[in-house]
Amino acid sequence: MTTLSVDKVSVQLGPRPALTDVSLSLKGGDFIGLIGPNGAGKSTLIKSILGLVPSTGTLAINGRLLAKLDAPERAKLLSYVPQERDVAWPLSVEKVVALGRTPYLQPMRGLTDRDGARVEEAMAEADVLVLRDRLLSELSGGERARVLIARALAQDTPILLADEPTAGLDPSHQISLMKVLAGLAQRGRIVVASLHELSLAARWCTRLVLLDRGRVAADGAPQHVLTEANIAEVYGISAFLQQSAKGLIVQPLDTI
Amino acid sequence: MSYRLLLAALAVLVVLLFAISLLIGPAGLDVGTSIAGLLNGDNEAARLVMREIRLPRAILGLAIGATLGLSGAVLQGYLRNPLADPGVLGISASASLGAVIALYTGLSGAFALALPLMAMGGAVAAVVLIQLLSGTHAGTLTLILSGVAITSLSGALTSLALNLSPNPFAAVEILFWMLGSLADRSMLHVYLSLPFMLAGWVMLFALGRALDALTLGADVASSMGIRLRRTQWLAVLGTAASVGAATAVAGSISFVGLIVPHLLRPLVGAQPSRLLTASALGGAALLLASDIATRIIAPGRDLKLGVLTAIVGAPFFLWLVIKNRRNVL
Repeated sequence: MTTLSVDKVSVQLGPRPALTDVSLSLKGGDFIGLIGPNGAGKSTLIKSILGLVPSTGTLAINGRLLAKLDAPERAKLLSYVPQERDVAWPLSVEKVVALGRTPYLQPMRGLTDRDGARVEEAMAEADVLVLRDRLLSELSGGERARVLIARALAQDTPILLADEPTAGLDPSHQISLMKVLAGLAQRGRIVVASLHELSLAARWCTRLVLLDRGRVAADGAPQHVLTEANIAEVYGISAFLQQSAKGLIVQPLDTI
Repeated sequence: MSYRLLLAALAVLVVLLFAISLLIGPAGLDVGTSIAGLLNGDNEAARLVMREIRLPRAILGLAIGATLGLSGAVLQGYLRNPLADPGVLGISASASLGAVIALYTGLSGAFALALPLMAMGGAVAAVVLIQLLSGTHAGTLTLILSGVAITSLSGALTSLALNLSPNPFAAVEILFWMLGSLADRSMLHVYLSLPFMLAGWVMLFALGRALDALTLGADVASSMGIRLRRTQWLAVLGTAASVGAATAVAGSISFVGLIVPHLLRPLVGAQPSRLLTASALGGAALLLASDIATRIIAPGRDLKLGVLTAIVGAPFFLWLVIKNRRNVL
């Protein structure tokens, strides 16, 4: 089973510390929701795991230090779904998803049959097969979000990191996206997503990590992390909480 | 149109235009004499015209056109900006400055290769400056701003050379050189510039996969194993070698590197890696055609190639701006 260990990771962005001594131990099957206010360090944590921002501390996958892996090796372990859903050129959905095979391509060669099969699987898994010939730039936000997840799936990594994948989506697209991510975790991957919709996070994530000004304020099962006291302290708001059959419902009420 | 068919069509076009370029010139040789002059040396005059005048001109037209098309496609892909062109890094401007200094100081009169060599020196200086200005972990914005700074500085120094030129003839010589032309180039120019252009092409063609990945942004490309520093180095050095050498022998020829990637992008499904070969062939075709046109439109008047490409290119650029504006609205 895949393990990802984050040990005392700190990141300094400009004069202020963006992350301070963050330690987490994740295993295959975990669907981790990173929650916390804007600027709490959610995106920075994702980027530091990916090696996109310089950090101190130790990051290891299956016991192997990430710092010792070269870029293509790392790309076979970690895939990334960015918050921005823009593409520079009007590429078709299928071509965008196929970009996920980049770390596996041999020099001067195109996609192999195996690459092609993996692209098909990824499109099926993220439910974008019907969109394959459309241009990404012509799709709605919800469709684009799923295509970018398919792109990350084609990369065939045991760990997938998504930065605010549900931002700007309508409730129906948010739910279908969370289902896709939860399904990936159930099939053994580690999925990490930063989220602002607390009810969505509580409903679908197996574990929540609450960040506050670059530190881990709480870490555990959704009902243990999303308490009135934690929400008041970290977000500075009061909230209405109710346990339902489908999970915890969190309705923010007012600033304190 | 399939990708291979497109490449084949462009290749046929380039071969055709290359042949036409060899057959046209003020000497007025007929086709038979031209071919005979190229292949065997029985007719001394025809041999000289073909091998020493028309052949280098056609080779340079092809190679420089390919350089401009290819580097334009690479830079648009790398900077993720459809308005980028081979001049965006400031390399054409600094190579021009090197040439202008050679003309200004009279070095080019004393030693024929001083001009192209100084121009290449200018390109090297631009690379050093880019690396100094944009530092070790440069973003594309820093790169563009460095290019703007280098272009402005080179432009100012070129103006200074014109301003202080020792005599009107030197000023005219500088001005005419800057207009860009393939006339009166020899095989020596080919031998001097072609190796650098070839080296540049190798570096630029190596970037196809990275450019594809960069379509989704630098962070995603990096997460897919693309080494961004290496990518930037190859883009800068490849452009410097090829565009520097091209500018050194032909002066600055604008718009080819901007227009060709645009025209061909829709035909290759917008994929940056596929645009590279297509754009190189397209650039070669456009420059050969333009150079042929300068000889047909105004025979004996030495219409400059760079003037023609700018006259045709600027309206196209305007159309592009208007079209993009419509897309935004």
